[in-house]
Amino acid sequence: MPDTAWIETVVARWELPLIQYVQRILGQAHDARDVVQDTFLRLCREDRDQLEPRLVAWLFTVCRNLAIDRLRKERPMHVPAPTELDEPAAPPHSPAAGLERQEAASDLLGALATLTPNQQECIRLKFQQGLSYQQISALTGLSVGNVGYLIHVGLRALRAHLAADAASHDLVTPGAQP
Amino acid sequence: MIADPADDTRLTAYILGELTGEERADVERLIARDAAVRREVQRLRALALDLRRQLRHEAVAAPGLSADQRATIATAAAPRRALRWPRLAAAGAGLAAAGLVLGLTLAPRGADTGAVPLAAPAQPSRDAISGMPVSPTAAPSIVLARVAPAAPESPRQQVDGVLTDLVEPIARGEIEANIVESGDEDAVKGREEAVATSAEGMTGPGAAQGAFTAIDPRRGARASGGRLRALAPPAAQGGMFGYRGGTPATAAVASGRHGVPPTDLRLPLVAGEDPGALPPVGPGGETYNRRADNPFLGVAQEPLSTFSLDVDAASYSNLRRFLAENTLPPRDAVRIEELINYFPYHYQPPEDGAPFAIRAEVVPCPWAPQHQLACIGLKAREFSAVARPPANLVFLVDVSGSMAPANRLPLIKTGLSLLANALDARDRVALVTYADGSRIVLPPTPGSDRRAILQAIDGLAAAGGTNGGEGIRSAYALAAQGRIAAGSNRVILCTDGDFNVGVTSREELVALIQEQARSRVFLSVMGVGEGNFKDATMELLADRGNGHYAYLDGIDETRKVFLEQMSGTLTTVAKDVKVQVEFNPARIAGYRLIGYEKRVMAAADFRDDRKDAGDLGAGHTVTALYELVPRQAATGAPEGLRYQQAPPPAAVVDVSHGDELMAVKLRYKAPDSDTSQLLVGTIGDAQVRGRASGDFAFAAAVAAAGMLLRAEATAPRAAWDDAIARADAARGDDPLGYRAEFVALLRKAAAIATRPGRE
Repeated sequence: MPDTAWIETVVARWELPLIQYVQRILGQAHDARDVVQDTFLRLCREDRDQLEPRLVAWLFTVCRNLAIDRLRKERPMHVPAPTELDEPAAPPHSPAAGLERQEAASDLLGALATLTPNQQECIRLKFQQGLSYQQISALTGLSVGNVGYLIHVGLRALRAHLAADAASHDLVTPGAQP
Repeated sequence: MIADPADDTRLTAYILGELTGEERADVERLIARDAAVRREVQRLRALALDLRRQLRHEAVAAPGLSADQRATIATAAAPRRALRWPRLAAAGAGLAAAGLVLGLTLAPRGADTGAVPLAAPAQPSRDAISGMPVSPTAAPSIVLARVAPAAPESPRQQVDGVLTDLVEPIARGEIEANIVESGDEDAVKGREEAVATSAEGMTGPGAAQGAFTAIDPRRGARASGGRLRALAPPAAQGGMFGYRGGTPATAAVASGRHGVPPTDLRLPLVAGEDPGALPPVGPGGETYNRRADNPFLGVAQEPLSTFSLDVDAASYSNLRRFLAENTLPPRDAVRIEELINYFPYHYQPPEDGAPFAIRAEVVPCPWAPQHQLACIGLKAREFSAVARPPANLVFLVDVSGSMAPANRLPLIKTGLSLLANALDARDRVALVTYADGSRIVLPPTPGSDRRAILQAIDGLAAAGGTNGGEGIRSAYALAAQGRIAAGSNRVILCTDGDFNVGVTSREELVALIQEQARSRVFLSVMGVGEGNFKDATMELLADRGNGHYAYLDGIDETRKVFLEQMSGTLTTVAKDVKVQVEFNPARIAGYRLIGYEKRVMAAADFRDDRKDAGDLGAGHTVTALYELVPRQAATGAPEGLRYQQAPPPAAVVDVSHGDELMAVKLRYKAPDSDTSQLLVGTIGDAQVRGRASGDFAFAAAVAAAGMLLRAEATAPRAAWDDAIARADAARGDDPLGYRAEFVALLRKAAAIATRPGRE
């Protein structure tokens, strides 16, 4: 029997993070909201007491699997490995928000777009969604050590990128001070 | 030694709060001894902060589920179709996401059934907006569900007036991340050093003790004492109108809140509040509930001022933390009563077994010479260590990843160890941790088994997510298990406040805590950390749990709270303490309560024993200040009322109490009682002084400084200099250096606030 109040709060809390996460896996051609809706429908069938301790990892894992399934159906010839996801089709920032965005913001997000897909995924899960290494490991299938390494290397690459940018634009960026 | 610290994955894990135990200690040692590592950590932190901010910002662009999708989920979530699940109605496109959270998770207050106050930009409802850092301009054009109340029998409806506080400040896509945000070791090190203590001895003569007499409410009659009048029967709402010759018709004025326009009376440098303004979100998503200053009120219109006692002092250490980072705190993080009540005052304890003693003085108002300042000080009975009742404590410790930095869990561990060392065989201690799930680390254990307790505390390590609700449930279960009937039963929650509300609604949490408080298990909240610190949440939890809330910003504060104050906190001498002041219109034209904004109560609630209020622990002191506009200082008749005759006809005023300025009434319950008792006393010419005595002079100086801090850098340098000079002059007996530290903090605040180039 579903716990209505609980599901309400879970939806309210995780709807947007999940949509955003899935949109990045699917790219612009798909509507991430279908996947997230599916995930919440599955949530309604779960037992709250059992699920609650691992709720966050569960939500992201289900979303991720459903999204990959969807891609797989579309393109049976190309089955992405769990950690080998599409390059994000979404631009790093929407045109509408573009004007308000700081120069430095697009620099950093632009730099992020140059990282490998699994570096990007781990960094987003960590910094955007606030998941722990352990949660990221549970949902990507990577080891905790591997997650830590990917994030570490990703951050290094970001810094190098920003430092190069700063040198060419003669700008000082936050991550690149001596 | 590592060739290039940038190659060390541990540093990345460290700043992300992912290291625990030995690994963490190793990295901290490395940081301490290697400057290159320190620089690297700083660079990493800067990048992490930047990434987090920008990625969160990016999150705002995502569109939400459609109305149809919501309806489908709703149907699947409803145990019985159609009946239970509320109808989903499409709301306007500009509706903030906030409305969704509110509508989905909160039941409306009783009277509002069917009309949840959603935050609609066109007609901002202050209730719905306060506490919600959602900018209407950032709201994406999506359809949001407005939800009719769920099951009307829901016990949530009894949570009265909590709605705004409950609203979790989750903006669209704003995620609580367990990321360490700023240099924690720097924050610990960088604290303002306390200026050397200078004991100047006691200042001033002991102020006159007001004439207070205990009154048994059941008798409904007063004890002896020439100043006291007969009490109204308990059924009369809103207290007594002693200065009005008992005219019952005058009781009606208590319901309306007609403030005297502030322009003529108010401190000019306190900026007015824009009711439509959104509450500020501090750095890293810290949230504070918006609070306007109490306005000046005319005695003719509002003869009664009622508030709940508050001994919390978290605002002070939070202020100290902001100043250590060279910033002024946001206005709403400055709670003047908490600043005042942070300091120990040397009020005389009660004799003859009364729960507390009161003293009062009326002195010239330091910041408005034509006004007076009424200072009211309470001192609770002290218990010696031997006489204190046994304690049954459950430590509930957040060990999620965000607790890893040195100024969080390690600080809590120090505090708990200090406290554990002060317990003995009469006491019981249990320890519960929560992260992704909750875990009982130590079942209820006698306080004499110090080794087991300290070992359990020592073994705490931070990792994982945060599920506060589950932990609280197990903690209360343990408290019930180890219950000491004649003792003090308390859960001590230690956290950075980063509850995951996706799992347990804040409302349920509060309902649980309230219910437990009724069964006399109280809650203390120890807050730590910066960045994602949820001041409003923690304060709310402590308030509802008849509790006490402290913010630990360093080892000194930890020692103060756990060692010096905990014995008091553990021993509640009076609970639900309410103060009601009635002003004599023959002497006072207007008044303003300084601070206690969130504690102001309706006059009728004073007598309502079901209404919760603050508690007083052994030895605690509480100080409240009123700024008074004396009758002769008021400029003639129109006291600011535009549409009616303001001053009461002279005939109504009972002139037989011409030597009295105000009557102070206190209601409190004994810790084990549900029926309140009443204390009444008067403050009159006997308490008027030419200048404030030591303690009150200092309290007044703190109040003045608090007003400057709430003015957010709009005050002129001269006002700061004056406040500093007054605080410095009033330091008095300060054996622990708290007051000297305050003066140093003020100097720093003044420097920041009046920095050239600042807006």
